[in-house]
Amino acid sequence: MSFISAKYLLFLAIIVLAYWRLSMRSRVWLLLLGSCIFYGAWDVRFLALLGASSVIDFFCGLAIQDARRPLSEVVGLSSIPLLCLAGCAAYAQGGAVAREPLVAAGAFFIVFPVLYEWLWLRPDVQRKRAFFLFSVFSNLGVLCFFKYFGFFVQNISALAQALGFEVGPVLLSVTLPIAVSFYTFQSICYATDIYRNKAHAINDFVTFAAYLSFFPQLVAGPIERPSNLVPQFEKEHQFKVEDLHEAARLLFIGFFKKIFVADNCAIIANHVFDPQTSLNAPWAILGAIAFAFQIYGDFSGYTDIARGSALLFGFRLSQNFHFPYFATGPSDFWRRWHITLSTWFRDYVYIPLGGNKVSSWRMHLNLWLTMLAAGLWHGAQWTYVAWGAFHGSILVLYKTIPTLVALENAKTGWRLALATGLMFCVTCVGWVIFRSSNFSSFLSWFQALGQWGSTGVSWKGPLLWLAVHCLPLVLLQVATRNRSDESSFPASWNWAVNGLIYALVFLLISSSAISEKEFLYFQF
Amino acid sequence: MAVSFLSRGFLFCLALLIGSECVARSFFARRFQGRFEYGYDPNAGFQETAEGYVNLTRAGGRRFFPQRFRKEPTPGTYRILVVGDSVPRGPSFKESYACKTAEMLSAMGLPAEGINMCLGGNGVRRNRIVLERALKYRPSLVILHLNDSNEFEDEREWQRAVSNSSWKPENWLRKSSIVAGIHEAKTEQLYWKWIPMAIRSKEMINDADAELQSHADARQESEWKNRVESVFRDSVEATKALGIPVLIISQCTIAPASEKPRFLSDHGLDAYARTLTGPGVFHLSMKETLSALDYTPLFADSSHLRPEGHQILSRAIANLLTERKIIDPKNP
Repeated sequence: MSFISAKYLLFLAIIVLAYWRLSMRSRVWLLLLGSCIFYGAWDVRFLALLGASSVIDFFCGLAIQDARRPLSEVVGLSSIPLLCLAGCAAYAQGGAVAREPLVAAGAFFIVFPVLYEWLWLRPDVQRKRAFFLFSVFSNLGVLCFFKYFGFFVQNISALAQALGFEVGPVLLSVTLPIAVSFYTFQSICYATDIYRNKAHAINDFVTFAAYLSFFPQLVAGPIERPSNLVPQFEKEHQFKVEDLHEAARLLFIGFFKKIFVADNCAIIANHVFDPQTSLNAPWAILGAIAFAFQIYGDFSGYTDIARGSALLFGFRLSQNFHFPYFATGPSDFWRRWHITLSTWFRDYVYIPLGGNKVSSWRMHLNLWLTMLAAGLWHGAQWTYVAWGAFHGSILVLYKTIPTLVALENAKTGWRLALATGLMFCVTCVGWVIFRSSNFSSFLSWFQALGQWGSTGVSWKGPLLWLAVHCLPLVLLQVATRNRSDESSFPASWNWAVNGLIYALVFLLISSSAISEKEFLYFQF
Repeated sequence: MAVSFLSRGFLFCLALLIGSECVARSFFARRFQGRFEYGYDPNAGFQETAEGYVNLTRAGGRRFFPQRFRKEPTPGTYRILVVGDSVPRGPSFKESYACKTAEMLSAMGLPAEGINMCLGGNGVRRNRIVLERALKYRPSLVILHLNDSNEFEDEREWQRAVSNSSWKPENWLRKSSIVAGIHEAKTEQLYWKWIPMAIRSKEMINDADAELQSHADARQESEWKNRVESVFRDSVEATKALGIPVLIISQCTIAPASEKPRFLSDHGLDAYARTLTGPGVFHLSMKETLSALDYTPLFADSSHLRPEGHQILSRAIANLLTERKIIDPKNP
């Protein structure tokens, strides 16, 4: 169910209206039910995977805190994936559910309770660690299998063939479940934070399942820490008119970023990054800028809609963006772009690798490896790995070259403008790597920078198109750049200015075709 | 309670939007009438006054050259009505062959009035709708300009009209005049002008573009050609049935400058037009009229004529009308 569809708005309105009429316990049930409908609207079969993940992390989280649950409960809840898939198989016709997932769900029903009981036989200290590792590796296992299986098989086969081995065809094809990268990462930080005593486990399965599958942030984040979101599931929210106003503003700005900015910039970006398109320098530059605004409008627009939707239930989700294109350097950029992911990698990869408490070269290596992992997280494609490596290298350069260090710390004047402009250009090059379908596509883009001859398709009209669709966002951001939340309006604006801006933004949104284009980050 | 529930900013925004909608509906109602039928509304652009006049206006998605004529023809005045696309429409009303022909006839002592009902991008189907309405004004002669290059636009606008009239949720906002007006202005003035066809055909964010793209093949071309012939024949028959003489002017285009030597092409329209001629139906070929001349300076582009081109065509029309006695100098 796309956030920008009429279906979603109707769904949200129904859930919100019902939510505020219910008791606290019923609200949790309603959120869980809503999340299942929301997620199931894409592919109901993947609810089984989400269910399995919820069961593992729920029991592991409690076990890390030394809370043992009765075997009957473990067995009962372990049957969820099997019941879900069996229900799909019984309801659907024509083999909608393959045999393998049913077998896997059946195995889970038997193996998980056995494993759970077996781990409880371990000594205290070992047991806590064992449950923690079990949770982390089961999540990583799910992520690796569904996201990287095809990638690894393909590359290993290619390598084996290059080495002269004969490789048979691999028949198993794996469909990537939507949101898997996000909820597995959220589960990992849940288990880790409990293990590190930074958060407490939820002792009720319905609440935990509602927490993990909370539909506003399920599909593309923000990746919430348990310390922020769990307490919000355990308290009774009071309806506040201020929250409603803020939520409406977030939804409004989110729609503006997605429908007006991102989807219109996508028209140019899709053309430039189409392998069939012949490019020259103006087109190449235009495409890079268009994609920079597309991905920002798309993802930050999604985040705003997610935050606005959650706030309608009284939940405050983390900010994920803070004027990223005003960054003066790569460290600054990663403090502003996809904040919940970059802090996740900082806390759960970079710091465990040694962080900056090691020698200089090791710290740079850690940084680079962390960015490489962040690149790979985006997808099973070498261009994402290259994008991570590119950003890792830029981070290292900005930490080792004194001029760049000074530039990133610029606060005012032309140095600030230069630093911001340079970082935007660097970011755009990164986006080209990210957007290119393969390395030859990136090379074509790069080669086009040296070609100024006509391609037969004029770039001047598209340039104007891009300017018309980016300028309102840039102006809005310049006006609000000192705010802590990039989607808020300046405090100096009174109700009349706010009203005027709302009306203008509404008309801008209306001017664009509502194409219900899917959000880019849903694929990750 | 209501004030605290809805913020002042939101209420002001709502007031602005409702206000602009009211202004649009109250003061620009005529402009919006038929606007979202994209030329398929029979009445758009025609405004009849209580004094017995008809005003042709730029409204309702039709951009007529503003003209005013009596609803009932003036006795003794020969009324020539031209229906077609941007070629007969001309650079301005005064410079179009509709006006020049009337002036020429008047100078010859044959009082005449020319009415230019041509619209840029109109194909045969939309011209047929204009003609239906135009025949109400009892012309002495109808000039039908025959061209087959606007069927894409006719089809696109038809798809838009159909899509717009539906009550799909994504169309709910478009029921507001101001929202629909802004959306359409952007589509027509920015999207179709700034985004090259090569990109649009890949994107197909517009329903109409998508529909056309899916059909843009030889079979579609052939269907359109058949449609041009059948609808145009209907137009001729309908006019003839009212006892009004018809003059068909078949369009020609000039080969691009890269082609040497340059030549005029009629796309087979001359041959088709000849099949329609008979009692009360006459034909003038643009190709034959212009090919004997140094025609390159007469064209502004591959198909549109400069004022000098319109002048030459109007002379040819006037000559044809008098020589073939379609208009009788002794009894206008």
